[in-house]
Amino acid sequence: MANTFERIAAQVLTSSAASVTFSSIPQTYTDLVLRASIRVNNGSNSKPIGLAFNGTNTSNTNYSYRMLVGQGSAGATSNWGNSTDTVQGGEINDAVSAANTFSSVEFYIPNYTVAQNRQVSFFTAQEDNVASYAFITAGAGLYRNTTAITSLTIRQPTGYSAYSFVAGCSFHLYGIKNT
Amino acid sequence: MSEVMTEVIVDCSTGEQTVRKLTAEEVAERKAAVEAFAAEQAAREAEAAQKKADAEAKVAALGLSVDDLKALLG
Repeated sequence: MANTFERIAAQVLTSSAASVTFSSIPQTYTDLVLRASIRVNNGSNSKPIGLAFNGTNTSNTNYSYRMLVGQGSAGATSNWGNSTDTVQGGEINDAVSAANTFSSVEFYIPNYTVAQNRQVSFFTAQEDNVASYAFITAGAGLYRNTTAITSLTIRQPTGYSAYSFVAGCSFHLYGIKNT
Repeated sequence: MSEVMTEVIVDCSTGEQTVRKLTAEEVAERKAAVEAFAAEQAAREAEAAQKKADAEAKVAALGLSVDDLKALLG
């Protein structure tokens, strides 16, 4: 385990927000971990979560993702794609999910200060308190840009119905290093 | 009344938190691409389904079933 695993910043929403950004991220760690508890206000049986690096400028193209999805009542499936604005992660709780249930989300960003294309791994557990409908997603993403990461934005990926995070969602950014 | 979409920004160097209203362009960008994306997704799914059907037809032409293949491959 890393010698240093400390929280850089946190945000618990007291009202809805379409996105949450952590800016001016210190460049003194090796890896970043973003953990969140999320529910959104739009409903159509699950929505994916997205993570953008260094702003959500749509000229920041060349995001891609690969994921494995498991559902409670069916076998695992795979999904993949490209995006202009985010690494698309797994499905999260929305307005048709059981009341007061939130998804657990983690994004792990290794070597975020190094000048290299940005890799990220993610895990999402949609928790709905029902036996037949829940998503577990594990995957990896790539951002084809070698600029060091100074901000992270968690938001809706392009192409899905617009949503906002509800009050009560929490977002925690951690820094990891071996010293 | 339409929802006002906002962004919460946490400055990690100071801890300061600000709330910014998304611009009309940002809101439109989030809403506009749904149809095009859905079409692309549908095309991708149709291609995958066709590939699966083609593969199953090839297996059947050999006198095998998908269950036979699963039994062979373990």
